[in-house]
Amino acid sequence: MNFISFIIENIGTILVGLIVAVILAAVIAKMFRDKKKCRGCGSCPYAPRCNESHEKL
Amino acid sequence: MAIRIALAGNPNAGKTTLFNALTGSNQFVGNWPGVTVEKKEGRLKGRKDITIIDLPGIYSLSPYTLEEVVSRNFLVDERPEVILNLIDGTNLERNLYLTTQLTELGIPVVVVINMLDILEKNGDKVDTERLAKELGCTVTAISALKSTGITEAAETAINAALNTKTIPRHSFSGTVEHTLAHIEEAVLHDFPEEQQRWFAIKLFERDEKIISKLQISEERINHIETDIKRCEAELDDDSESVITAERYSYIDSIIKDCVKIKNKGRLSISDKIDKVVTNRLLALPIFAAIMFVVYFVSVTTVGALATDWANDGLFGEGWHLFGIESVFIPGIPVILGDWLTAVNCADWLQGLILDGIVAGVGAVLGFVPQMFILFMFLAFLEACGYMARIAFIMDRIFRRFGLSGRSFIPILIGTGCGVPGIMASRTIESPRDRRMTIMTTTFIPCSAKLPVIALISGALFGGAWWVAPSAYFVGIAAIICSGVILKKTRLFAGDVSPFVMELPAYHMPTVVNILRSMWERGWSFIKKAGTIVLLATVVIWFASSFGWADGKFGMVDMADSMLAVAGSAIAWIFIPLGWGNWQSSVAALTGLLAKENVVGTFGILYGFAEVAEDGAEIWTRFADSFTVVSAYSFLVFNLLCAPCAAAMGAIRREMNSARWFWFAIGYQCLFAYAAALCVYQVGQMFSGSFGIAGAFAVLLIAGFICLLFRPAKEVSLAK
Repeated sequence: MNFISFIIENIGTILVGLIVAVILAAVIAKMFRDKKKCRGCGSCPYAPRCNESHEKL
Repeated sequence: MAIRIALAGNPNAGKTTLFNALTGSNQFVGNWPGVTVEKKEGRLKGRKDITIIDLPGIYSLSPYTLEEVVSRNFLVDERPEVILNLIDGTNLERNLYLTTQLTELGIPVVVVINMLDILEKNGDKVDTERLAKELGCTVTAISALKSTGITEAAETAINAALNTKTIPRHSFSGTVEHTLAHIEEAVLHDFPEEQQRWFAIKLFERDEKIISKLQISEERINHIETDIKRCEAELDDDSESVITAERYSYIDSIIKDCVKIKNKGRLSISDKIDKVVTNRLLALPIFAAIMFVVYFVSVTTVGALATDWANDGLFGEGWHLFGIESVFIPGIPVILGDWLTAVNCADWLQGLILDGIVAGVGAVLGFVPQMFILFMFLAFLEACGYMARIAFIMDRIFRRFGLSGRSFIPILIGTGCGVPGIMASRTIESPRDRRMTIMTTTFIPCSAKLPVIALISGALFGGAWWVAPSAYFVGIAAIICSGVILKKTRLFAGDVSPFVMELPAYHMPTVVNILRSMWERGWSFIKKAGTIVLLATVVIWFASSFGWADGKFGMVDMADSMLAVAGSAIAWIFIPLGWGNWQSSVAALTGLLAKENVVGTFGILYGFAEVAEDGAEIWTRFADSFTVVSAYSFLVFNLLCAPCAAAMGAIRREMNSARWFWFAIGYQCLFAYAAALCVYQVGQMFSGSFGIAGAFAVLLIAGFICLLFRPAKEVSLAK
């Protein structure tokens, strides 16, 4: 009973909280997805040149 | 049947423009050579079985540059079904050199003459039928920019792939042909007939990559070497030069037969413009004036009007539609605040949404209009061909300070975003010059720094005309000063790489291209505000609203928050720079995640949403915590210090060494600190204040002047 009345009293906060949580989760998921799009150095024609930077300081 | 059409041609011939038109892609197009550095693939619009491959621009199939290796390897190893050889109609002689090589590959070639509109405008004529006969392949004419003739060109290429063979009509002198026949017979008789000629020519030229690729035995190499030497002795030149000279004399004969130039010898419009804009004395003042106008208009005049509307109206109280008194549209914080109150949302969640997300993201998005105007100007300068001239002009200045004009291309790209700018440094062959370019590219203000510039300019300087343009020139000065400093060290000493760049013809860019370029850059900024900046504002709001008070963790006054405690712990570092309060220190720190966060953090910490709701002038609280000198010092520090996390990641990847990465980041932070210290302390001296920090600033300036006049070590140069 207490739980239901808590939900009813705070329904606005819960709904808004859920919307914010979904938005944040979607943003984080998108950032991870974008990061995965990088095909890595294997597809880069300049990758061999990167080795030139291995010289020590 | 699946068909692959390779777009090959000289740099800046318009390949990517044609690629975008054929595939509907939005690949970056620029009016300077070397925009495309790796091959890109796309499907022909409406034909999923046809793949278009955009290759980097090359002048020949000789393996002199990495771009040439990429393009040549694709053409030789992958052997596309047809080559669409795009040639610049305004410079046929140079472009046809590659064509003569492509026709020898044994792959069907369709020659497409681009910039037909410019040719016609000049009154010049090209006899395409005769050219086709001379070259032994189909020739068609288009204007990639105006999208005229491109569908026909694609159809011609498809037909050529299915039905035709390209047989080179060009033959070399008798002795060379005799030697080539010997090479084909001795080494290449097992190869498909259509490929034998190209390989024979490459073996004649002693192309090492081809020799190792074909794995020819030493005995056979020695055998053909006797023939090549005999031919060289007869023609009194080395084999490579013989081939080059004979190709050019063949091209000369074609040009005479097929091209009629109306105003031969006269200066073109581009030449006339260049006489002024690249003039030894006028070039720099013109460049400074243009960049001044760009930043002044974008940030201070038109841009400021649009941003004021965005800040006061859209992300503020609201605005009157078209200025009509009776039609008032409330701003986003007002609409959202009313709705949250109506649904009885808890105060803390309202705080997160209004004081955190809306204040932070809204503060950043408020500067979008200024950004769009800046992007429009930059897109115009890039597309019309002026940006390529800037690299040429800057080469003269940069060279004196140990940098090459080649370094200016990444810097130009860096005005949009530092990440592609840093990546563009890959084309610099000298490792020393490349590292130096990577370290200095982010000194130029990228789009993310524009809100910081606009904020300081508007809130502290009342939109003074010189503040925004000065940010750009501070970036240039920082690059030059770094050249002076770094080139005098053992790590970077040495001769500056030569810089050769073809200046493209000026042309009026289309409105669609400018708007598209502006939108792409602007949209990527908006996306960033909706992702990384949004997440950062949530974290900053939490850290600035929660903390320990009376031994309990919970919502507290901002002055007692976790962020205030952390900020106060590092604020002392920035006291000599004039902005040693915790808010500014935290803002500078969050800028390392994304530079937009600097403004977003101030938005939260100085109650952007509250101020807007009160209807009071926005950013006044922020302005109260700075003086004009300390604000400019803050601006200089944030312009020059280590870039955002994404750009730092790019530096890490391009340096490919943890030591070099930390060296670059350390250098940028120290340089920014020293520059901001000098700005603040010298500014203080004018108001009669001088202390230990002031003395240190004077020492720094004196040290820099010493470095400026100290000659570079001869030993280092010899290295």
